[in-house]
Amino acid sequence: MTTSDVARRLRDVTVLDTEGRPVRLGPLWDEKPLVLVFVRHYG
Amino acid sequence: MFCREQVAQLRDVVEEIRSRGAELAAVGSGNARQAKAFRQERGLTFDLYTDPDLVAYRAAGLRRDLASTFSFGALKNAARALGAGERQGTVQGDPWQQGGAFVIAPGDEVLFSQVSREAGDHADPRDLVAALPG
Repeated sequence: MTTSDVARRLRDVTVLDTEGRPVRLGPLWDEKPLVLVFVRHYG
Repeated sequence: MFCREQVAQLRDVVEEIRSRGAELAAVGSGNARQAKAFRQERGLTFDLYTDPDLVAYRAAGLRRDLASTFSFGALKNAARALGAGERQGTVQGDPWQQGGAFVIAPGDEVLFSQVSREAGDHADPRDLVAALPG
């Protein structure tokens, strides 16, 4: 697995914003670099 | 406790990330209502997303297991977080899911990649900033 494979796999994944609306990840880094942090949990 | 320490560190670097022409976003494993309350409580200015089915975590190749949550390293990290004044609140989301961090540029170019080996094993926010172009 190369590192850009990770980006290609994440690109089409949909997450939810804080209002519960679906957001596709890929467009978040189409215009500028994105620091994307996966946290363990809230609390 | 890990998450609060981690989020406090991210909050400290968000303006520097933006000044370098990039953006910051965090993904968690709870639900949207929890994320909204957490974002407001912590005064976060960056977007917080949730991945309740852990689809994004799996796509990112992140670990989910008991061993990494209860390893010796995790206990050391817990001691460090307590020393830094962070307390773990009620756990929301999946307590076994490990984290990670990526810096991704247009064109799916991965400039930085870190997969947590155990709880409290976070990427240094300075390394995330240093990975940005320019």
